[in-house]
Amino acid sequence: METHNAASFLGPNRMSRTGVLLLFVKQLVLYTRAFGLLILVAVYRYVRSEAFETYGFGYVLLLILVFFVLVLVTAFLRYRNFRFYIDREAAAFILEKGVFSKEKTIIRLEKIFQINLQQNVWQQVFDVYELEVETAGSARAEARIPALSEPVANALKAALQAYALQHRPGDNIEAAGIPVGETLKAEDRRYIGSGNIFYASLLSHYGNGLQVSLGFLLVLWSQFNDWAQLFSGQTEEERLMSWWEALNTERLLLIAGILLLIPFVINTIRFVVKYYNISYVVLNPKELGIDYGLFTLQHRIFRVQKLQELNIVSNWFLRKKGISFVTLLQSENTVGRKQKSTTVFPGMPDAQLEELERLFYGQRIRQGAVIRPYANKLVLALLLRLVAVASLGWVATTFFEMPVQGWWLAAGILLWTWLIALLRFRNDAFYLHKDFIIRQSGSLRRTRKIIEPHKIQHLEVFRKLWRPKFGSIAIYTASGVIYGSWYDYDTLYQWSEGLINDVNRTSRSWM
Amino acid sequence: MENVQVALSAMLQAREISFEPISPRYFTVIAIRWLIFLLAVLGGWTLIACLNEIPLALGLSIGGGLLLAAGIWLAVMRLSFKYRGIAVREYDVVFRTGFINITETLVPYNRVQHVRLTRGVLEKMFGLSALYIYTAAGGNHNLSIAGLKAADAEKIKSYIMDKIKIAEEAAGNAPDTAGDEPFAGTHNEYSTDDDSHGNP
Repeated sequence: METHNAASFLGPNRMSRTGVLLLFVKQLVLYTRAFGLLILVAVYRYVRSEAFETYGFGYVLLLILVFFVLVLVTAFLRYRNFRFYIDREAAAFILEKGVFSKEKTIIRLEKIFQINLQQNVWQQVFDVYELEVETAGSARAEARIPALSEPVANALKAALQAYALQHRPGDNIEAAGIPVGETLKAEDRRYIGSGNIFYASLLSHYGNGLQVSLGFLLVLWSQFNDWAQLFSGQTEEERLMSWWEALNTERLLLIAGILLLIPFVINTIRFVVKYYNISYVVLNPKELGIDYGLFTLQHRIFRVQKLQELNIVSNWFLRKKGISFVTLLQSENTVGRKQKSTTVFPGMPDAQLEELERLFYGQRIRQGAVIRPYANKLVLALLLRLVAVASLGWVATTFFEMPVQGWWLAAGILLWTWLIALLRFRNDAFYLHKDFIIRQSGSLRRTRKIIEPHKIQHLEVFRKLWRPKFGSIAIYTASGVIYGSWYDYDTLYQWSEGLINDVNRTSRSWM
Repeated sequence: MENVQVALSAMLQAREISFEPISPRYFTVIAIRWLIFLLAVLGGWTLIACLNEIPLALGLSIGGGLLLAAGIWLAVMRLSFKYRGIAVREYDVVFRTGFINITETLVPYNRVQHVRLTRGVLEKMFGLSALYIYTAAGGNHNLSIAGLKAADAEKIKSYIMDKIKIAEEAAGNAPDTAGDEPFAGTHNEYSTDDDSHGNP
C-alpha cells in the first residue's frame, strides 16, 4: 500500500479511482429523481403509440445506452477535474472542480474548524470515505471530497489538522505537526453499547415520538387519500364517515393500542439507526473523536474548547439504570446549523459521563446553592389547567352532548395534567456554583443544561410592572439561551451582577 | 477619542443604577413615524370605504377607532420612556426597556463582538443615533439602543471600543495584532472564505 504523509498533499491530488463510479451513481440517482417519472411516462406513451409498432424497442434501449454513456463521461470528467492540495505558501487548502465552469475553493488553514469523515450507503459499497472540512466563518465555503480511500482520508485529515493547529494563532499545542489518531490504542475507545442505546430510546422521548408518528400518519393519510381518489368516487369526509361507522369498541381499542405503540418503534429506529455503535475516544486533551451510524457512518472531531453547553436528559427509568442522554452543544456559527453543531450520546453510562466532565471541565460538575421559583408559578399553572379542562368539558356538554360520565374522564385528565405540573414545578431550579450554572427543568423527563460562567455572552433580566417581586432571567451563550421565570427578582439581579463580574475577571476565552 | 468617565460608586449596587434616560426627542421621531403610518392606513381606509360604498357612519367610526387605538399606543409608548434608559458602567453596559415587561439587558465589554451606529433620515434631523451592540450569542439576539443623542452615542461607542481593546490586551490574543501568524497580510486575496471562480 502506498504510504501517505503530509508532504504528499502539497501537490495536486485526485480522489480514489472508485470515485468515478461514485460520481456516476450520484449523478444517475440525481437524474432519476429529477426525470424518472417523466421518462417513465414518455416510454409508456411510446409503447402505446403507433410509432412503437414501426420502430420497436431497439430505439428505447439505444437512448438509454446513450444516456448512460453521457453520464459516465461527465462523471469521468468531473473526476479528472477534481483536485485538492495544501498550498503552504498561501497557508490554504485548495479544492478545484468543475467541467465547464471551473470552481476553486480556498480555505485558509487557520480557519479550519472541524474535519469530518463519513460514509453513506454508496460510499460503503465502494469502500471510500467522504471528507468534509468545516470552517469557522461561513457555512458556504465548506469543502467536500466525496471519495477517498481509507488511508488517504486519514492521512489528509491528520495533515489538515496538524496544519490548522500550526496556523491558528495563540493555540499552539504540542500535538501540532504530529498526526493524531495513529498512536491511539483500541482500548482507549469507549462504546456506549447497543443495549444502552436501545433501552434509552425505548423508555424516553415518548412525547417526541408521538409527535413524529402523528405527523408521519398524517402524511400517510394524505398520500393514501390521493391514491384512493383515483380509484373511488368517495370524498375524504365520506371515507372517514364510512370508517367511523365500521368502528366498534374492540377495533377502537386495537387501533388506539397500535397508535400508542408506534412511537416506541419510531424512537428506536430514530436513535438506534442514527447512533448505531456510537463510540468516542479522547484524541488529546483538546479533542474528542466521535464515531457513529449504521447506514451513514459519521466521524467527527469535537474540540473541547468549543463546548458551550452540556445537556443531560434523564427520566426515572434511565436513572435506575444509571444512563442518560448527553448532548454537546457547540457554538452556532451560522443560523440554521444547529443540527450540525450538536452531538448526542443516547444512553451514556454515568461512568463515561464522568470521564467527559473531567475532559471538558477538569472536574466533575458540581451543584451549588439552589434557587427555585415562587410557588405562585405552580398555583397559576394548576389554575390554568383547571380552567382549560373545565371549559373543554363545558363545550363538550353543551355542543356535543357529552354524557355525565364524561366528566370522570375530564377529572382524570385534570389530575394527570396537575401531576405533570407539580413535577415540572419540583424540577424547576437553577443551581449556582462558582464554576457551573445548572438549569434544571422538565416534568417526567428531567433536563439539566450546564454552562460555565465564562461562556456567557450577555444576560437579560425581566420583570413585569404589576408584579415587581417576580423576575425572569435569560442567559445567552454562543449556542443558545437558558431561561427561567417566576424567580425572586432581587436574587436574580444580584446573581446577574455577580456573573457580569465573573465574566469580566476571567482570563478564559469563551471559544 | 474622548472617553466617558464612569462613576465607580454606581457599580454593584443593583438598586442604585441611575439609568440615563434616552433623548425625549426620540419620542417625537416615533410620533412622526407613527403619524406617517397612520396617515397611510387612514388614506387606504378612506379609499376602500369610498370604492365599496360603505355607509359614512360606519366608515367614520372605524376610522375613529383606528385613531383611538393609535392614541393609546402612543400614550403607552410615552409612558415606557420613563423606564427606557442606558447605564454605562465599569464592566458592562445596561439597557432597560419596556413598559409592561421591563427588560434589563447586561452586556459585558469583553464579550462584545462589534458595535454599530446608524442614523436614519428622521434621526439625522433630530440629532439622534441608534447604537447596536453585538455579542456572539446564538441567533439574532443583540442589543439595539435607539434614540441616543448623536454625541452620546459616539462617546459610548468609543468607550466600549476602548474597553474591548483593554480586554483583548489583557487576554493576550488580540486577533488583529497576532504577530506569530506568518502569512498575515501577504495574501490579501485569501482574506475571505468566499469561493473564487476562474481558471488557475
